[in-house]
Amino acid sequence: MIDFFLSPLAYGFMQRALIASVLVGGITALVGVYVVLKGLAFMGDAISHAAFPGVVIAFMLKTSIYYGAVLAAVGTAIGIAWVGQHKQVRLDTAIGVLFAGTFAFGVLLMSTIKGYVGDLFSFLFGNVLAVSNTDLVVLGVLGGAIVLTLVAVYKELLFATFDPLGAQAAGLPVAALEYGLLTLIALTIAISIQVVGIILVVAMLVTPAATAQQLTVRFNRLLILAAALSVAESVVGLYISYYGNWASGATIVLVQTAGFGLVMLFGQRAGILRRRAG
Amino acid sequence: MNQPSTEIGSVVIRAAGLEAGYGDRLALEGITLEVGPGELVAVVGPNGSGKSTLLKVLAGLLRPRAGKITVFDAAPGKRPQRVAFLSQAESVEWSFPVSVWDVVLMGRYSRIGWFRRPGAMDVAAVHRALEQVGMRDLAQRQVGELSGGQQRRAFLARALAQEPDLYLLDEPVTGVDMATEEELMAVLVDECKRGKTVLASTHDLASVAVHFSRAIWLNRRLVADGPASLVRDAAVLRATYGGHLIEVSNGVLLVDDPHDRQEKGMAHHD
Repeated sequence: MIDFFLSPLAYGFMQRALIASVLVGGITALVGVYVVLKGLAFMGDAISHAAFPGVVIAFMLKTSIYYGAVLAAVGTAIGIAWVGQHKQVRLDTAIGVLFAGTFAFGVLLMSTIKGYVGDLFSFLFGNVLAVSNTDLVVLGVLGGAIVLTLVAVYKELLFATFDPLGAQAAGLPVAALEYGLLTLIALTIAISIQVVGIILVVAMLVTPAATAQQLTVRFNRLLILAAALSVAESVVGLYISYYGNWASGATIVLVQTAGFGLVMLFGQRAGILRRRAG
Repeated sequence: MNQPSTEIGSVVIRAAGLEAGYGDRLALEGITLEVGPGELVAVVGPNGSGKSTLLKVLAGLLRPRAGKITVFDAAPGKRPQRVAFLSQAESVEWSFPVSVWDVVLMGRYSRIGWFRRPGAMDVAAVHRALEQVGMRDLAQRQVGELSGGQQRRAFLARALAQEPDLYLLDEPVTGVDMATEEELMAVLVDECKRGKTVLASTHDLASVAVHFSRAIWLNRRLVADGPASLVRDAAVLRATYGGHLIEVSNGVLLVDDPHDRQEKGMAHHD
């Protein structure tokens, strides 16, 4: 049994993959709680797709894809937030336009590179087994900054998320907090692309948080539970993908989806079976 | 926390020629008004008369288009610690995972400040506020599990916990039953006796005559401003409610002013 967990760790790539999965699993879940509570799933999907051209350009320039991903994702998040504050068009319409347009631009750029299919696959669906030591440093630093920020403005962000009007009346800079939160979401997406890829990252943001939401009605417990669930599910998913020789990002996401399904069936608050029995 | 500007004789709210609105629509115009410390003022008028708009301008949530306005001798919104605002319930997501305690504690945030955690004084203030509105037993309840009346009480407790000098309350007692309304109004009367100022919008004209010392009558413009007994003045009622008025024999006026936006609150009595 112990051998089942330890033997894959004889490989350096698997050690790095494990650390990356734990970090990304925890950070996406914490930020994901805000994404779920504020109904920003579509926004998260748009930001990750908009990161694509950034990733491709960084790849073409032979620099770290994190630079391109961070710049494109944060830029898009702030652009969408700006549209949201100066409502000329409906926000979901603006997101829809940006989402497809930027992604198409990425595909077009990608198609100019010869023999691009293999790399394209890893950008879109992630490849946690290819995480380098440098990637881990970036993940650790940016991830640490994201978590520290969430801890530092915990109560202000809670107030502004729950009751924006009340928070504004209490003197909180609600608009700045909104921009800040979207920036954190964008950074989280950017550092997660290596692990789960552009298409699947939204699942890591939304699924563990939505699962934990079925299990508690307290905000602080929700954060802790979502992070714990997500880390556990990421590790389980990584091992299953190793032994099954399946795509790692997709396996992690499917384990999280299964967790959500189980809670929907048996959970205390929303469990369909429990409700019927009660 | 009384500072010199709340001494008797000074002015809490001062507005002259105030004009405010949303987009192309003008919701308030020509409002000139002074409110002093210790006053309990009802803001009365039909739906769309500008009651909420006036409170939002005073809270610094909506910038006026024209006119001069000060709250504690500063622009609205510049004294967030001293001014508590209670909005109409619709702006909050009730399924949000916060308890009554969490919500009331939010009233302390402007005093606690950034990057700091609540201290013993904040905990004591939350206890006191929950006691005042009779919600000690429900402190750990998730807000979505409360009745409409209990939700109003929880948000009023948040305003009390803030220990402000001015309360701006948008329909604080809509949706609560008669007994609760009496209790909450008694709390507000107490606050006024301690020198605090209260501005509360209401649809309940019967309550205006009983509980308030002064009433402001709005119908986009300031129709009347005087003692709460003006509620018995037919001319004031006609000017304020216009078409919503039904005249019955023997000089009785019926005000037909459905507040449909508060249906949720009405459906869940405590």
